[in-house]
Amino acid sequence: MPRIQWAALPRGVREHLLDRLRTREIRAADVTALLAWINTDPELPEGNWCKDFGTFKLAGEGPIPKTFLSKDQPCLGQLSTNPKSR
Amino acid sequence: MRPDSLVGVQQHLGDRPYGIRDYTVRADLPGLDSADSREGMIEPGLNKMLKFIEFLEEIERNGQTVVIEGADVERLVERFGSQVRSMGLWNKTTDGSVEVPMANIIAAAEELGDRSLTEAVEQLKTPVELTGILNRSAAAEQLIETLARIHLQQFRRQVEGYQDSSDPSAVDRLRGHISKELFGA
Repeated sequence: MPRIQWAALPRGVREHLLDRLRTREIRAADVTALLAWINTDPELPEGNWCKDFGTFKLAGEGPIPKTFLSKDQPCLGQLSTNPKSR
Repeated sequence: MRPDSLVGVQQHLGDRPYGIRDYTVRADLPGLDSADSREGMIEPGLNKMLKFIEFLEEIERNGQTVVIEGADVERLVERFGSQVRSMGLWNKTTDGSVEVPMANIIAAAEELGDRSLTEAVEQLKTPVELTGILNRSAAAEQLIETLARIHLQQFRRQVEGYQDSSDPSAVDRLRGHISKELFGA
């Protein structure tokens, strides 16, 4: 099972998340939950996946994190709301 | 005490290495026999705790960080679970090491209380591999859990500070910290 390759996250996507965090569109508790989930080094599906953190969602494909969605945006493709942690 | 008393753990203080191994506990207090006088032994009861706290305060003042190497991190994860990576800054995009501020170890040890603190002290001061110590001790699991909780709470406070601050330099600094924690860059 693939692991997330954070180095592959486009810088613009990363900066956009930090911008939304600054304006409180994303809650501090939710981004803390993201960090705790990242630290589990989760196993991910081979295809598209999506993880819901409340005020935002993280979407990716296999090991590649692709984008952060707003809470109202639907996840596309194969949905996995709880990628396996280890 | 062997100079490599904390195998698998590197301690950094700028350019000057300073480690737990540099600390020698006095063993000339009442109640200690000759066997306790060897370097590295620690004193019983309150004296032990006070010495430990003094020791930790000293290295806290120096801003010291304990770095657990990536291979040791993964061995600890196998034993204790993924919270090991939350004990500090996990360098996920580089060598997989975890950086644990000594100030957090102080806070965790104080929170654990006397008995667990004593065991934690012994773990930190015993001249064997840190991973081996952690694999044997119930207090080690408590210490890991407490450190992970402290670190995540600190991260959340950093995020709240990032959201609340009107100081551009503080915002930039916190944004950098948050990005490094989350994405490694």
